[in-house]
Amino acid sequence: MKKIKILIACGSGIATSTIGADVVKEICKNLKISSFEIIKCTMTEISSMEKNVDLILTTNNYTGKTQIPHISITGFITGINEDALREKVKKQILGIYQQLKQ
Amino acid sequence: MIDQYVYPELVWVHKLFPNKEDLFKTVARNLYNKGFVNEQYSESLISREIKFPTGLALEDYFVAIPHSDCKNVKKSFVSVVILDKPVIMNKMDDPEIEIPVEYVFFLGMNNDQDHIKFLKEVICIIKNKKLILKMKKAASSEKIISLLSTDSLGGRLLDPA
Repeated sequence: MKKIKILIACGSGIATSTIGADVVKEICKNLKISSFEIIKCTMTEISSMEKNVDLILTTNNYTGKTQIPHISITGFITGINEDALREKVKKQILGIYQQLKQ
Repeated sequence: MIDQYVYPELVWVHKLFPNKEDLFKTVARNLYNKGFVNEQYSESLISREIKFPTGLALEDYFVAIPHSDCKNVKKSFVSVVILDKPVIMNKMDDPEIEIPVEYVFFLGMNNDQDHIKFLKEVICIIKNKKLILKMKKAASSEKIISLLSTDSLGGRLLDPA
């Protein structure tokens, strides 16, 4: 099946997005989803990359308008409401997975 | 692992700065003088912070993790500044919101090390309220170094606080 493409963005494209990517990999592993691809980028690159992805996750504030589902994942850095955030991201990934399977 | 990047000359305690610009310029100058960053680092750090702030609100304290491009970093580091009075910074996930930050961790990563491990350990430190409070009470940079040493943190670094 088609891979779920998850874009993870932060200011520099290397720091907090790296943490976010690590958490998302863990979530996918727990969901037993192996058909996914994580793409990291800077916040300014989001607009040029969003067309090719299924989900956008950001640690910095994202003000762009997009049809693609977007979730702010700063909670993975601070730990504040992290459990609820994990559930939210998990549900979103599961939803996309089920859509792509059809 | 992270302790190898926490150099004594980069750890400051009981510091006072009127604002973040002053803090950033002073830290950047120190890093440049000691050979950790290039000339472009200071401007890059400040302009990145304006566009994409690095302030974080934790349980009941505030930290910041300013950093810029890898290309400005000559030698990897974590420069820790514990402030006696907070400086106003902006929240990473909501830049309109100002927060009073007392614990600043300037992160310098180049491509020489394992980014994931480096960052995970930094995040564990900032999420560890007990450790942060101990750092606040530290009378000297040597104390901070010892709090962040592998011996002191051991396996506990990756345990929840």
